Amino acid sequence: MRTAALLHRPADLAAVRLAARLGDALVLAVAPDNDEVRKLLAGSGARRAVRLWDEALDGVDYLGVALALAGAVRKLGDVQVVVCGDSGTAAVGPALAERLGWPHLGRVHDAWMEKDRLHVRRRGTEGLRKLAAAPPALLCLADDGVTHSPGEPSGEIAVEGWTLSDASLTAAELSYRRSFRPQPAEGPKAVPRRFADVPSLLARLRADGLVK
Amino acid sequence: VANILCVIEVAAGQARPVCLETLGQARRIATHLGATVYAIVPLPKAPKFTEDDLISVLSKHGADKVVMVTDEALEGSASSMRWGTHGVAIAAASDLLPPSLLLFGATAGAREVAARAAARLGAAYLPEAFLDLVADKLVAWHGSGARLEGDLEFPVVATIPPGRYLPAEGDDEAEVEVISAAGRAPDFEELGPDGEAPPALVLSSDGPERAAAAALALALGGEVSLDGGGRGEAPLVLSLGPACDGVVAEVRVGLGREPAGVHYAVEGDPEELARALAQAVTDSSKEGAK
Repeated sequence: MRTAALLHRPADLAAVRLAARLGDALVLAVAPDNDEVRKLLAGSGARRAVRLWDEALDGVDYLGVALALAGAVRKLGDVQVVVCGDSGTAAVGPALAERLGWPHLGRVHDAWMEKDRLHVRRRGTEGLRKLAAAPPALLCLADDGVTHSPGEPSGEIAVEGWTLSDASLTAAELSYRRSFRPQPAEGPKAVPRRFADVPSLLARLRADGLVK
Repeated sequence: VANILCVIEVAAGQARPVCLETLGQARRIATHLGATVYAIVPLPKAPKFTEDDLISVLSKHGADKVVMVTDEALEGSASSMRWGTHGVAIAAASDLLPPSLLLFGATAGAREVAARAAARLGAAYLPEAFLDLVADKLVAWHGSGARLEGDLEFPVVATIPPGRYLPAEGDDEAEVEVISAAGRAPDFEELGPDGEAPPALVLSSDGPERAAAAALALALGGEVSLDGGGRGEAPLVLSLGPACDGVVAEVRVGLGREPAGVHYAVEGDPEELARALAQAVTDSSKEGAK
């Protein structure tokens, strides 16, 4: 089974390892060419690395990135599972799943294949839960999920540089997403809700369903 | 801004407080801009007339209309939202009432669902948002450091963290509509519980407050993180709820201090507060056991 991991930062190497545990893993990144990205992709441990970039992607929002990734995944053709990180805004993974029409799960701690079904352990409100589905599916791996060993070292691999046309996309399909991306600006300061005493705090935490 | 949709998460028949706070801010924005506020409530089946407390609560907290989206697949689904269980209901509501704003309380479930709902709508997505009126215009911020520019001529999906806004209060009666969610999204099959995970993390430095942190963690069935989750946190921050990375949780509480990122705070001596909270949790657990 072909799997793919989305690589955005060094911590996403855990996603590559999980993808490699599930199948024949390739690694995908939407990023301009630079030494850091090239080194990260080439040494990721995956058997194949694809870096997709075009000026039209510069400054697009979560959905612009997801649209580009969806084009790449479709073009690759036989990817059955995509694994990505679940930190930050955690928006690209779910958006990619939506564009692909795949089920997705966040807060994934671990996953494995069992009788051709993808089994997933994830954190719910009341502890860990197990779920299963037939691929295709997308998993967002929690930062504190299980970290698998890198496996057999595959050495550094060549990084394929893709343009939008390699993913059957055009600049016009993506560049409009720039206006949907928040721009840096000083905003309101977050102020916590202040509780007068411990009983009133505890009452709120109970109402939130976070303390029994 | 025409339609403002607030997705209401329900636990044990009650709307979650953060959803009522989100509804409250939607009310204030809608009143100023002339929009309609819809409370969207995904449920397995419509409540009976004798079970209309939820409708009454949503009316009093700012909803113009309460839309119950019924979906039998929600019966027995795991406690928090995910797209496979709640996505069809949210999609049905946003197809029927195309939103200018689609809002969620920032819960673990919303983290799972909101970005996908945004992608489906082609919307801008703002997690942990501020939504404020500035010079008669809606301004939408992603946290404190970035904002959407222009007149927001596209839909925006946002999550609002707990404690950011106050609920609205009123005595108006909302109209009620019941719609059925049709179809089924591709989904995972729930196979059941598969191990324990600490429900709470007490972030503490390795100083004198360590013992109080341990007492609080014990009372909550949680754990202590002595390095503040590796982020150099101020001592005695209580982190609760399913998190993606063990530290950025659903709710963070500053005990005696207010480091960046906490949602709730109590003033006082950190150690005394931690011990008092531990004692209160223990006492109420004993009461519950009786």
